[in-house]
Amino acid sequence: MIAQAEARWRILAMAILVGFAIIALRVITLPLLVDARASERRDIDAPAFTRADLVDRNDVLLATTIPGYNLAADPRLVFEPEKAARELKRILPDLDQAQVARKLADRSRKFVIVANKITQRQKQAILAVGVAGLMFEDAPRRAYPNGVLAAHALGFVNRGFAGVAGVERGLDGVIRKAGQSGAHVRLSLDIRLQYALEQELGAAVARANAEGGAGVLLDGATGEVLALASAPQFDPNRPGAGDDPAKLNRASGAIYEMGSTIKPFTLAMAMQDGLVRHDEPFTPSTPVNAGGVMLKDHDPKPGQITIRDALVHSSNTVMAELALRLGAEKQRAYLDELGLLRRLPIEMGESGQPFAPLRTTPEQVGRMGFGHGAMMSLLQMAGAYTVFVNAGERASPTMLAQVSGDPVRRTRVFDPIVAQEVLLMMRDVVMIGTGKTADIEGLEIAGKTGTAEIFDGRVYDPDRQVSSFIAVFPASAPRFVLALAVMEPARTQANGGQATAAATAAPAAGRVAARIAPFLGLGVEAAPAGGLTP
Amino acid sequence: MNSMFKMLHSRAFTPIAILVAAVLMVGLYKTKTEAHAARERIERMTLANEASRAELKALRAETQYLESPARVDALSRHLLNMSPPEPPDPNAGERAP
Repeated sequence: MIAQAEARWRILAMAILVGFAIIALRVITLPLLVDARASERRDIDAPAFTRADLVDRNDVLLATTIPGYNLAADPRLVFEPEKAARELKRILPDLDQAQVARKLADRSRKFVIVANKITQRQKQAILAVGVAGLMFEDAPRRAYPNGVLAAHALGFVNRGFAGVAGVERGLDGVIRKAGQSGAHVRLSLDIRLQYALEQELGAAVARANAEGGAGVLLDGATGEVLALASAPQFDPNRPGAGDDPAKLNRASGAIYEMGSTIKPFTLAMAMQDGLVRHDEPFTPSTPVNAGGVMLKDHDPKPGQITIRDALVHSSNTVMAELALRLGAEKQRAYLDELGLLRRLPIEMGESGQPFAPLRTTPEQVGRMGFGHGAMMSLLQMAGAYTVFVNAGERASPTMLAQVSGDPVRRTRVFDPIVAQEVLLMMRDVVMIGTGKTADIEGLEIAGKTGTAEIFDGRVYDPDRQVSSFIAVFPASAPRFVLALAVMEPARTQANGGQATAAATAAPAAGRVAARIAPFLGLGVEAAPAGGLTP
Repeated sequence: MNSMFKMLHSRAFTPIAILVAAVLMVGLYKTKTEAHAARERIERMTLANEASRAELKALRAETQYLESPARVDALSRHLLNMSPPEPPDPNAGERAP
């Protein structure tokens, strides 16, 4: 009897213990479950706002994600459609009042979209009006507060907030990751320099009545892209509104034959390999035999000239001769080291695949010596010109702001003395040669013009050209590379009836350099009253 | 072991056990209620924080729009008759080929 009672008590005691254990377990797990549910809620509307802001090198806002709303309505609940449409039109001026009134009056429907992409302020104003039957749907959007400025560099996103073009695409993963931690992404761009470049590029394109243009400004020491412009422009806030040619990134996405701007490299290659002397005489009027094909100068300098004169006066025959001395294999190796044969690893959606013939004939080698036959982007060329900033070392362009003190990766291409000598010759190009129109007192601009006819697949079209100018300045302490190209300029009166680089790209580059010099800490002589007209 | 049996056999045990269980249940209910309230408060604060953050982003974007170089340039030209200084012309009247 007692044993039975003990057994019952034991069972009861065990049941009570189990009960307490369950309660204790519940008390312990409760806070954990609360946390888990809270984190689930936080993830619901995360995608749009986890995209980081983009800022320039001085923390100026370039791109952000802001709240936005779509306005919808249940027409069955709207009492006075005409009055409601009138009130909405007052707040949303772009609204088609008659169409909205018709939508709101259609009581056969339960849901109609009234307006897209309205702002927080507009939402508040609509709520204040107190129209029954209206509802708001969250629709955050990517905003580019500077409008068209730096549009090609920044790019834009699609409806799913994935990067489609520009840095938004090239740094898509980085931007998402930074956004999750609430950080921003600092680009190498400087909005002040960007604005000046775009203004002057646009003016140059307009003066030449050209098809388009492109411009790049690099900090040659680090490879940072300080400004990157393409004309015509488009508004990344409304990427669907612009036409496709406007969205083409002519600075990094498109490739062109860059013409004579390649000549400083041909000269440096020959000097590096000891294939030419400074005082060696050349006769530009004598055609160069390139595998049976005679290559000539358009307007040969009479008599004999040195390599310095050949660069100053942009002689094709001398450069072809130097390229032939170098040979196809070495020429290709140098072009590769200059980053001109491979797609540039830049943090943008658009990076043009350069083109150069794989099997080169003597004619092609000679022609490539003066810029025919190889195509690359303007940004690639600007990157290659950093060899003249860094005593023969090339810095690869980047869109990300570099942290001060971080080591910069550079590739040695030429000896310092070779790079220095060619730089001085490029200074002569601007002082007395084809680049005179870019010479701004105080800036010591060195550079090279290039006027390349466009190859239409069969022949070079003499009426369609890419006129470019690539500058390195200041020559005595080189730091910056400025590349500017005008695509298919017309022979307008504003350019003295010429479409050459000397008449289009070079003066525009000079204006850009003069305008940005104060921001770069460089001095420029002020213009006398009534100076250059825009 | 014997003392435990004695305690379990005592008449006072059952009401005490029931009382303890009731106290624990009340405690559990209170804890759950407080946790629920705290959770809701956190969610409200989180939403308010996110809304404020979004509004700040919108305000920052608006500020940058107002300070954008193109707008400042246009206002300077229109209201102050100011424009970027003209660079010196290196070859006035001359355009080399």
